[in-house]
Amino acid sequence: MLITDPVNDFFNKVKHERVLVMVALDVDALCACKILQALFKCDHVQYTLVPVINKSQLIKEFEEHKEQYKHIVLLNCGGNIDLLHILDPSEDISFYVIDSHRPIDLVNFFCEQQIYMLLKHDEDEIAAIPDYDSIYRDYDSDDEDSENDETEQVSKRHRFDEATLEKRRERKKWEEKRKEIIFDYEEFSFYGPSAAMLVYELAWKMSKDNNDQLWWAITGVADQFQNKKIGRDKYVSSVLELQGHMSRLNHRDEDDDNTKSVNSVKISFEHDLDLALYRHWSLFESLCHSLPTASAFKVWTNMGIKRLHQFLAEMGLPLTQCKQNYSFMETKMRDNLQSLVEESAEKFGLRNIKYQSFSAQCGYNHRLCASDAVYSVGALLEKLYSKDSQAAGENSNFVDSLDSLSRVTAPKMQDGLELAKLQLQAIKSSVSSFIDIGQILSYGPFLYTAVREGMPDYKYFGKPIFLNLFSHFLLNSYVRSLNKTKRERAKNLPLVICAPFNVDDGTTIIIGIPPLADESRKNLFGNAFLHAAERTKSRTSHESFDSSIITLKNEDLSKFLDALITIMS
Amino acid sequence: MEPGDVEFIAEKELVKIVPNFALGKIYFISGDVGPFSPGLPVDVPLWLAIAIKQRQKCRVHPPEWLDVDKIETMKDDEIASEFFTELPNPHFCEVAQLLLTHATDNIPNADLLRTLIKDIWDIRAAKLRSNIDKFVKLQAGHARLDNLSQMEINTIRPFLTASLDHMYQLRISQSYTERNMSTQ
Repeated sequence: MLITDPVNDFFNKVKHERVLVMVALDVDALCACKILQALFKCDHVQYTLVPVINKSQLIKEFEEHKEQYKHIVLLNCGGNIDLLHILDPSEDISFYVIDSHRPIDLVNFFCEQQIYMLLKHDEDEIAAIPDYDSIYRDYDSDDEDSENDETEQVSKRHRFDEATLEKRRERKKWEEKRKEIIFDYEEFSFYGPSAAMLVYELAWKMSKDNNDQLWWAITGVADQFQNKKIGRDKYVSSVLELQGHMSRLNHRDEDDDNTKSVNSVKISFEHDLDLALYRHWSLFESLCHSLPTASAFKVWTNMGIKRLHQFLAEMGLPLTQCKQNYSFMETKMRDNLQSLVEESAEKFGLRNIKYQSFSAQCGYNHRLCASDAVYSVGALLEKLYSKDSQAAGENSNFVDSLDSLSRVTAPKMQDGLELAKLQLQAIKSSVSSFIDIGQILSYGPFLYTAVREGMPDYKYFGKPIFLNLFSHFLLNSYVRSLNKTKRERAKNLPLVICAPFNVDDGTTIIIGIPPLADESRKNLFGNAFLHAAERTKSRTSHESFDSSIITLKNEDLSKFLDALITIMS
Repeated sequence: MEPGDVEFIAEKELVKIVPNFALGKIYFISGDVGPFSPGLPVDVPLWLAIAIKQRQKCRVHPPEWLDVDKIETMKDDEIASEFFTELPNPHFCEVAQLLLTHATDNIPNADLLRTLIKDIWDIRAAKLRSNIDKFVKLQAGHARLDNLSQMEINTIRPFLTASLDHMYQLRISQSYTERNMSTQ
C-alpha cells in the first residue's frame, strides 16, 4: 500500500513499538539509516539494526527476529520482491518499505495491509504503475457460474454455453493483455528517488531536520549519481530540492557570518570538479583515476599520459605542484584551479567536467565533498578480509561505515578515503590491462568481458559496488578507445562482466550495465538473466536486491551466455 | 565533591525555553514544571532543558548575562579589580558550559563566548592561586574571599586542605622538637 502521509502512517505508528530496521549494504541505505536513527533517538524509539546483503539473508534475519518485532522497516531492500510470498509473515507484522529499486513489486504496491511503501509524490512514478483493474480481477462470479453448471441439469447447461464461451474468450484476452502489461512494467530495472532523501523528507515534515541529516541525504543522492544509478537530469532535480532545504536551514545565519559556531557542520553548494578524491590526493593522481578525465585522455596509453601532461602545461601548473598532496599545493593555484581546469577542459574535449555538488566542513578541518564521502563509505563497506574472519568482517564493515558517516570529521572517514584510493588504483590498472590486451569482446547484442581468477586485485571484483563502478569505468574507457565508426556502434551496446565470486564454491558473479548512450539508466538485464537461466536450467541465484547482478556456477557460464545472446538478439 | 557533582547541582538552575510541543504540568519532587505549549516561553530546570533540546523539541533562550557585551565588560572588570567580582549566576561556568555544548545553535556568537568565559575562568583561577600563595606565606589563620563560585572552591579544596594539613603536622613536629631541645 502506498503511504501518503509518512508522519502519521509510518512514524507515529511505530513510535511506541519496538522496530526492526533492515538495511541493505549500499551507501544510500546507510545514509537513510543514519537519518532514521537520529529520528528514533529524538523520540526514544527502541530499534534493532540488521544489515542484509541479499534476499536469503533477508529471509534468515526475518525468521530470527519475527517473534519479537511487529514493525519492520526495510531500507533499500524488499521493494522489488514479493515480500508476502518469500517471507510468509504472520498477519500482525507490518512492513514499511523505503526502497529506491524499481520496478516496485505489484503485490507489494496493491497489498491493502501489512506492506506500506514510502514513495515520493511523483506523478511519473505513480503513472508507471499499471491500473489495479487491468491486472487484478474478481473471478468469483465466473467460479460460481462453473459450480452452478455442475449442479444444474444438463439441458440447462446448453443454454449457457454461448455465454460462458464468450466469457472465457474475454478472459483469455484479458489474461494475455495482463501478461503484456506486466511484462512491459517489469522489463527494465532502474532506480527511483534515493531512500535517504525520502527519510530526510520525513524528518523535514516532522520539523526535526538539521544540517547533519541534510548532509546524509546529500550523500545518499550523490551515491546514486556516482554509481550511475540515476541519470544527470534526475540528479539535478534532486540537487535543486536539496539546495532549497539547505538555504532554508541556514538562512538565519546569512546576515551575520560569525553567529554560527565553528564546530557545527557547514554545508555549501558549489559547481565542483568531477574528479575523484582530489582534495585528499594529488591533483595528478586524481586526474588519472577519475572516470571523465581518465577516459578522455586515455591514460592507459603513452599518448594519453603525454596529453595529460600537455593539459597540465596548458593550465600552467608545474608538475611538482600537481604531484604533491592537494592540501600542500600553493594556495594561489588551488584558488584558481577550478577556472583553469574549466578553461582548458574545452580544448581537450572534456565535457561535463564540472557538476553541481555539495561539500561540508566542520571545525577547521578540510572540506569534504559529497562524492568523496561516497567513495570512502563504499570502500569501507567492501573492505576485504582474510577468509576465516569473513563473517565477522561483514558486520564490522557495516558498523565501520555507519561510524564513518556519524560525523563529517570522523576518523573512519579518513581510513575509508585511503581504501578508496586503493580501489581506484585497482580499477585503473585493470581497465588499462583489459583495453591493452583487447579483452572486451563484442557478442553481438552486448559487449562481454571476464575477470580471471589470479588477476591482481581480483578479489575486489566479487563485491557488487566495486564491480559496478569498475564496469562503468571500463565501458566508458572502452568506447573512448575505439575509432569513430566503431564508437557509435559501441555506444549503444550494454556491457556484461563476469568475475570470480567465491573461488571455493566455484561461483561467478555477473553484472550487466546499460549502454553508454542511454541516459535513462534503465537496465534490461534483470529479466534477460532470468530468462536465460530458465532456458538453460543454469544453477543461478538471483539473490541480490539489484536484479542485474547474479551469481552462477562456473560450469554453467558458457551455456548461460549462449542463451543470453539468443534472447537479446 | 567531584566537578560532576557540582555540575549536577548547577543543572537545577532555571532557564527559559520555547517548546514546540504541548504538554501539561509535570510534577517533580523538586517542584512543578510547565505547562508547555508551542511557542510560549517557559522556565524549566537546565537538565530538563537539555534533555528536551537533545530531542529537538525546543529552542533555548540563553540567559541575559550570556551575551558578548556583558561578558566582555565582566572580563574587563575582573582584570581591573583586585578582588573577585560578583558573578551573574552562582553556577556561571557550569551553566555557560552546558548551554554552549548542547544549545550552540541557539546562542549567538557561541565561539566568542566560549573563549571569553574561559578567559574569565583563567583570570579568576590565577587570582585564587596567588591569593592562596599569599595566605600560606603569611601563615595566616583564616582568610576571606568573597564571590567565589562553588566550582572554584571545589577545584582548590582538595589540594588546599590536604596541604594545610601537611603543613600543620610539620609545624607541630617542628615545635615539638624545639620544645624538647629547650628542655634538655
